[in-house]
Amino acid sequence: METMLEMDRRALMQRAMVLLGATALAGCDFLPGSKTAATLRPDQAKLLGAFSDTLIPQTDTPGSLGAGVPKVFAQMYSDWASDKTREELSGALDRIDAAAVKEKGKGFADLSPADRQAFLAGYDKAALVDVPPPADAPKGNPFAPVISVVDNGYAKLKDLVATIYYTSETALTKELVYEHVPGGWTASVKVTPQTRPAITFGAF
Amino acid sequence: MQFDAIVIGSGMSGGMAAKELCERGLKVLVIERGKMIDPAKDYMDHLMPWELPNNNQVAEDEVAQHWPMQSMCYAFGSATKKFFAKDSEQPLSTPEDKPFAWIKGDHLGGRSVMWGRQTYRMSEMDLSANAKDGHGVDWPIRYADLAPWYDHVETFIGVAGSKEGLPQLPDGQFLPAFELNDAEKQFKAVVESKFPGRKVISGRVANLSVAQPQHTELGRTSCQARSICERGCRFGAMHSSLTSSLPAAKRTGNLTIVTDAIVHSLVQDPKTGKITAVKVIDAKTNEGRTYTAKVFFLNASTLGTAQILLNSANEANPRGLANGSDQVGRNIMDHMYGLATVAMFPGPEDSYYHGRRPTGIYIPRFRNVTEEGAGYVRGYGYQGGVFRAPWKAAALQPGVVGAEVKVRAHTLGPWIGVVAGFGEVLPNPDNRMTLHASRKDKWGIPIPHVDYAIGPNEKTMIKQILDDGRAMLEAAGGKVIKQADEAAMPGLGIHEMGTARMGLDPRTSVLNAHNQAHEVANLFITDGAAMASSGCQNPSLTYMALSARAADHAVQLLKEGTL
Repeated sequence: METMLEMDRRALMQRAMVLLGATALAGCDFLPGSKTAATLRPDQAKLLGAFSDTLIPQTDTPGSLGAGVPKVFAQMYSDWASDKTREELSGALDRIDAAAVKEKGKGFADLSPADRQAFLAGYDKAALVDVPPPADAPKGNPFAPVISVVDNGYAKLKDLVATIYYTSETALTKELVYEHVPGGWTASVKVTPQTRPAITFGAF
Repeated sequence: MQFDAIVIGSGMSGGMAAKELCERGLKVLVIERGKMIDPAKDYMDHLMPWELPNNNQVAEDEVAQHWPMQSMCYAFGSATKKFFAKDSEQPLSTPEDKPFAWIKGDHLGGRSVMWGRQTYRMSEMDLSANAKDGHGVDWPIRYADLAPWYDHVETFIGVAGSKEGLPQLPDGQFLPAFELNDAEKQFKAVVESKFPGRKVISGRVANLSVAQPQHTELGRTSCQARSICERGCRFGAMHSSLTSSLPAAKRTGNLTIVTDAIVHSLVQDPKTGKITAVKVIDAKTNEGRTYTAKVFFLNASTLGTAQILLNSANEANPRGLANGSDQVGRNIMDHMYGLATVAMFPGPEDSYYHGRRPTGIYIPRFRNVTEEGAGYVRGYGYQGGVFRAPWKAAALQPGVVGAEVKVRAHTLGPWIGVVAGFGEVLPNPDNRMTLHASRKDKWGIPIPHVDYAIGPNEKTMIKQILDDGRAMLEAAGGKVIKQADEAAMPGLGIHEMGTARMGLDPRTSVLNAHNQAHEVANLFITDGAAMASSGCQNPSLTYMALSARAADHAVQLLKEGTL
């Protein structure tokens, strides 16, 4: 059964396709047997850059742009994501932009960094409000819970961007700790103000 | 070339059987249906997180097409997919409303390459359980029969663990245990004082905490605390067929390995009743060929072994080979899995740890040992751990965007405690694998059909697994944030066993006390199929001990001229 959200997303995609027109779509890169473009439209790519940069900005360390998140995202969008996931991700980007236009009168990427941050904080909070999962949703388990929020596509987008950042060489050398060969297990280490968490694979 | 013995399957049990047979001077052929693996070229444990294809995920369309079942395994990812059989090529049939996951290797070394490495002995209590409560058939062996072989295997593979003196979880030949962290020590102290008889111990694990000479001489080194074991370990710090048993077999000069060779069936001499040959289909060319030997070890994994026996039906044995009892394919057991409780844990704020420990904590069975179970027989143990929450939990909260995400992600997370029960499943003849009446795989072999469900004893046990998990975490000050409400899909315990059980009576069992088929003198089965009951312990060590013991016996029989 389709959720309201999925129907809305589909309607939105259809509207977007009508607005773009056949000429623009013909320029997109389609994979064999797929009805969904395998690459983001240029405006979506620009939006992704602005979104990633706002979600994880440069501070005293590089942010998403410095860590090359958009490039990895684009590669995974083409090589990893299914049509359904591509629709979810690009739909989530389109919805951010549509909301920015409605609220601020400008596309998200055209806002000032401060305005992006303020807008996205509110948008993020509203999009991630929990909603009861549909009756036929998979059950999930404590380690892989089923995500059911107002905008599941947005939850996926945010998770993917952040995950790409926190597996990047930049983040794992400048923000968190990753040692490929720790050399041994030390059961107790004193926490100091300099302590940064080490990433793990699975629980341990 | 003439072989003395053929071992079908190169995984956990087949690797060990091959080693033991080779070391006793037999010329051994190991037949593996999957591909050859060269650790130097094929392992992906050298790649940094950012170098893994697609962030260590497999393309979603590819998962849907080829790996819908395998991708449910925690160890499945872009770095490990080469170790999993494609569901599209090796499908399993089940009734629509009774799903069963068959997680399956497709390479030399089988699941020993990506196993969870938890290593526990079964006890006298486990081996006498069937006799005591009447479920299944009595094991034809007792703990004393297995103990020396447990010693033998543990010494060879290397098991880190602590001696605890528990009758329900016998001690073994251990390397130093991986120490509990400070939060786990706190949990241990509370549980052991508030629940007398319960113990929280370091998970016994087949990783070399400190490599010994018998390990280094095979090129193995001590564990580097990377905990990416399922990618295959270049350090050889975990036991697998590829790093331990097959190299040990190879150095005798007696080992031959053939890969990409799918066993179709065993050929039986109608006069003597003995196996004379193995019929094989080349996985790449579809050509058929046969291999002959004097003695045969079937280690194709619990379902694979039953599939071969059933597919070896002949005129005299229309129900399948070694199946006069009609027990081949029956009594499937897979530990109940995924019964996890997760809690925020009040661990010491000023303490952390270093390295990625390849194990966690273990809580040995206490129900129907020191404390009565609420309306069921047998029991369960828990695996788990207490650890610092990963970055995502705090960093991706709703409304948090911008620099605050980074601050939260690089702030040490709170302690999280997890305990997940592994419940014993009773042998039930209706939990059964048969050959599908019409569906065949791409090599023309009938695919397995599994009809499996947990019964009333297991369902009753689940409630107490969850209640006890919650009670222990709460007693230690934990605040439960998530809890499973049912066991994971059967099969995902990846401890499926029981399809050719050992027993005293040929009318009700398939194998005798030495894993020799009652009806086929030169056929030995020492994988999970042989198990007469499941215990609640991770079973690989028992498969390996049975393999070594049976190999020793088979060689004795050969020497005596009785095979």
